[in-house]
Amino acid sequence: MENQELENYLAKLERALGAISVSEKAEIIMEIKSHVLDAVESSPDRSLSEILKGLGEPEQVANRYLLERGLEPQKAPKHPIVKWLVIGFLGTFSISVVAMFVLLWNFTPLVQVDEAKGHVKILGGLIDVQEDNGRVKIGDGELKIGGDDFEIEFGSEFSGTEEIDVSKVKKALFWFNNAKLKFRNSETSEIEYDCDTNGEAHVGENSGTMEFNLKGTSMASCKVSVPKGIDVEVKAQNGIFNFLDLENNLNFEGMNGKVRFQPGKEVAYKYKMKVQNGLMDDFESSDKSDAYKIEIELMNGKIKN
Amino acid sequence: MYLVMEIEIKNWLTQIKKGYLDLCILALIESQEKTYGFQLISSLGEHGITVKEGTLYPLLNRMTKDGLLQARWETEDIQGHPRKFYSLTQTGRNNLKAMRTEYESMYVTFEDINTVGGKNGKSRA
Repeated sequence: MENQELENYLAKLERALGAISVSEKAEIIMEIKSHVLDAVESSPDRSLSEILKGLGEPEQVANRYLLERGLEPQKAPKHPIVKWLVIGFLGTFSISVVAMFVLLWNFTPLVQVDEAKGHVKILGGLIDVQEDNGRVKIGDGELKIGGDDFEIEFGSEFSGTEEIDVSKVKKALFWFNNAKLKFRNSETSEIEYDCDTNGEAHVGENSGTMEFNLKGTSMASCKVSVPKGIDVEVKAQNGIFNFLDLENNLNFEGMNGKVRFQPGKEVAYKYKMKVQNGLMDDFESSDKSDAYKIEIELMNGKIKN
Repeated sequence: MYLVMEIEIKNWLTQIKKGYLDLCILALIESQEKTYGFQLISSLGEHGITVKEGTLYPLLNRMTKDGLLQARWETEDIQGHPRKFYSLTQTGRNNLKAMRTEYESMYVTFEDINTVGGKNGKSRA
C-alpha cells in the first residue's frame, strides 16, 4: 500500500537514524512500517495520522534507537534544507578545495569546528560555514542561506534577451551548478534572463536548442522568462528552483534543494514528479491530450506547489 | 489523588519501570514462545502495562543486539505483510531465570523490611 504520509514519516525516520548501518536501518524501517500496517488493520477508526502520532515524531523514535545503542542522538537540524544545500554547495564548489579539506581534517588548527553553534571554519576562514544563520563565506563572496532560501552576493552579471523563432527553436536548455532560479512565463516571444553569478556563462543556439550554459559558475541567481510553447529543460545541482505559471513542457533534474512548481491558472498539466529522499506536495494531472508535460526529478529535498 | 502521587514519584517510577519492563518483556516472550512487536504491545496492555510503541521497538532492537532475543521475519500468507518475530535465545532464557530469582529475592527482602520489627515477625497494623 503506497501512502505518501507513511512514506514521508519513514523517510524522516531513516534520515534521523543517521549513524546506524544501512542494513540495520532497513530492518528498523520495515519493522515500524509493519507495526503501522498492523495498527491500521486492528483499529479502522483511527486515522493514519493518529497512529503516527502515537509512535511519536520520527526524530524522537530514531533518538531512542540511538540511545539504546549508546550512540549520540542527533540534534534536530535548525533548517534541514540548509544542511543539504551547504553540503551540496561545498561538494560542488571545487574538487580541489574538498580534497584539501579531507587532507587537512587531521590538522585541527586548520579546521575549526564549533559543533554547538554549527560553525565550521576551514583553511583559516577561506571557507566559513555558519549553520545557524546560514552564512557560507567562500573566499571574497558570500552565500547566505536562510531557512529554505538563499541570497548570492557575487559580482558578475549575465543577462540579456534572446528572440525565439518557434519555427526554428524548439527547446531552451539551461545548465547550472548551484543556483537560485525563478522561471516565469514571458508575455513576449523572447527569453529574458538576468543572472548574478561568478565564473563563466555562455548562451548560444545549437540545432534548434537555445542553450544557456552556466556550468562554469559555482553559484548563480537567475530570473528567466520563457515564451509559451517551447520545451524547457533545466539541469542543476543544488539550490532553490521556482517555476511559475509556465506554458511549456518542462524537464527538470536536480540534486538537493527545493523545487516550487506553481501551475498557471486554467492551464492543463500532466505531472511526473520524483523525489528520492524528501517531500512532495500533491499534483493533479489533467487528462487533456494537449496538457503540458511536467517532469521534475530531485534527489533530496522538496517539491512544492 | 493517584495521579498526584505518580507525579511526585515520577523519577523513581521511571527508574524502576525500566528494569521491570525488561523483565516483563522477556517473561512474556518466553510464555508466548514467539511474538511480534504489535502483539507484544497488546499482551503487555492486557496485563496492565502500557508501553509506547516508540519505546518498545528500540528496546527489542537493543535486546536482540545484546543476544537476549533472536528475530525472524515471517509472512503469514501471500497477501500479508512481513512481521518481525522475537523469541528468547539461550542467553535470554538464562538471563530471565537469573532476573526472576533476583526479583523474587528483592520482593521477599522488601516484605521483610515492611514488617515492623523486621525478623521478629510482627506484621504492620
